[in-house]
Amino acid sequence: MTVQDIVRPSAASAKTSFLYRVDGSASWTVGTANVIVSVSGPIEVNKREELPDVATVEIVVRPGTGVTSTREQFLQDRIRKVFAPVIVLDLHPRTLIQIVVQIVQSGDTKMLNTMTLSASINATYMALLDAGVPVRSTVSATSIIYYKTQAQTSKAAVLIDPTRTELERIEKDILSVHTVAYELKGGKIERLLLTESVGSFTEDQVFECYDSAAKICESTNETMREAVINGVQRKSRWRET
Amino acid sequence: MSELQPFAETLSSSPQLFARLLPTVYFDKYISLDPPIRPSLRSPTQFRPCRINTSALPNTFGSSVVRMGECIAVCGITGYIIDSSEAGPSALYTNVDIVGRTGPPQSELMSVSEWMYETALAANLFDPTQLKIEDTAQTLVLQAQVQLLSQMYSGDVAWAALLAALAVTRIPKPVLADDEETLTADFATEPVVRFSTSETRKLELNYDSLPWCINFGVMEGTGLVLADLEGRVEEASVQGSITIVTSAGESSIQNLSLSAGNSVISKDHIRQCIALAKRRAAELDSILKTQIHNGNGL
Repeated sequence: MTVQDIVRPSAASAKTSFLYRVDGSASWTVGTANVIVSVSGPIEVNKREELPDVATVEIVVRPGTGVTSTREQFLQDRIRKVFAPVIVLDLHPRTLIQIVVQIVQSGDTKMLNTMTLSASINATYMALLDAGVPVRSTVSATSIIYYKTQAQTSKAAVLIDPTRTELERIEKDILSVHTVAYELKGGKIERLLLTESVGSFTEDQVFECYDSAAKICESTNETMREAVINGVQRKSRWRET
Repeated sequence: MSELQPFAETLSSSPQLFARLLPTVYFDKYISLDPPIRPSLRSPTQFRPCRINTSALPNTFGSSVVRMGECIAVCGITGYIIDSSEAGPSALYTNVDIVGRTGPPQSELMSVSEWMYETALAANLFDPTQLKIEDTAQTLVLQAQVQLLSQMYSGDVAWAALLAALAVTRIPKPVLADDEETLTADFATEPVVRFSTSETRKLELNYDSLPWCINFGVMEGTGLVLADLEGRVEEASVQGSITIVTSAGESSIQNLSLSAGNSVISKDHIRQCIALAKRRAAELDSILKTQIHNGNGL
């Protein structure tokens, strides 16, 4: 069975507009990962951080438990790399777009951060939409894990957006972990935005992984569309007489 | 034919000032030549010259100094003894710092530090059981301190320094001091372990060809691939980046990080980068082997 056959519909769900004191908020749940993101902006910026021709983007990641560590810095850096080209920064110079990512449940085991990263990317995108920050295209991300099974000796088995229990079960046999984020326009894949692949893998495996991620991201995009439609319907309820 | 009158006085300024004020325009002047060339006068697929020195630092199990272009990293490996029950997932802790800097570490440095820890963990550089101390419930844990001597954050040079230091690391033989005892975590007593000053054994790595880290840039528009980005000008002008950790030859790849920025990165770009990375890994293996063989290594 190749990875192409394993496209399972994204078991993800999103909620929007539930925080009142910020411009936009969203929550993304996939597997056992749950991330809440709030976006405020364009708002007033510190003179020190002000940029003359584009908006400044501030990203803060807070862990579910424990204190912030270098792991949150790493996540902040990757989220920034994804969204810097997607947000239309030059429409709002000398302002701040503040993104706060609160990890409620990481959905990862202690050694991994792939589910946290892909859930954070999706939640951030939904929150940006909710806040009305101008963006050029759609973003969606997914996590793919290759692992050894007792049965097959040559072909690796695959998990897509797994739960923490599934990850713990195969933890000793993990071969490689991939987080992939795509840019989409009109519901179709436009280009790769970010990948983080760690472990032991071949060139062919990584390309197969990108192709599978493309299909999954298109399905995640559908989930996002539905969530946005529901959100707009909810907000427009006052129009109904 | 009358001379054209200038609208305003031309300002004469140095190329360095031009590079600081308008790095993308400065870069473009070079890269749009035919054939394209970079401000450092390297061709697009040319890597920086690399020099490696090993075992130069005293009081370490292993050490290295790696220079690639203008970036220099120094790595020293030391270790400490802990109860096996307290051991975490990794037998190697890495820390990256910039020499001469005070205050809390900057975010990019923290990101590099985290990346190094995760990559070292996933790459499984050595078998941690060789660090267990016989006849005790204790184990040795290695600490790698990497210092960057240049102001640039170069993850690949820091990683190279780590690999080179590990390749020459020798673990001193632990000796039980029969006349002293220490309390362990569960309140039993164990003899104190000291390090022999004379006997050492080599740390066995899981790799013959080491998994080096190589970085690439992919330009917006032209999609030109640039190997081994270095400096403010290149980083400001080239948004798409691919970082690969791999050993030479047909072996698997350990790490592939890709960030497109405004560029379009295709599978062909990635294939090209993987091929270049494997060649560079072979080159770095040979530079290290030569240094260990000739120099003050083992």
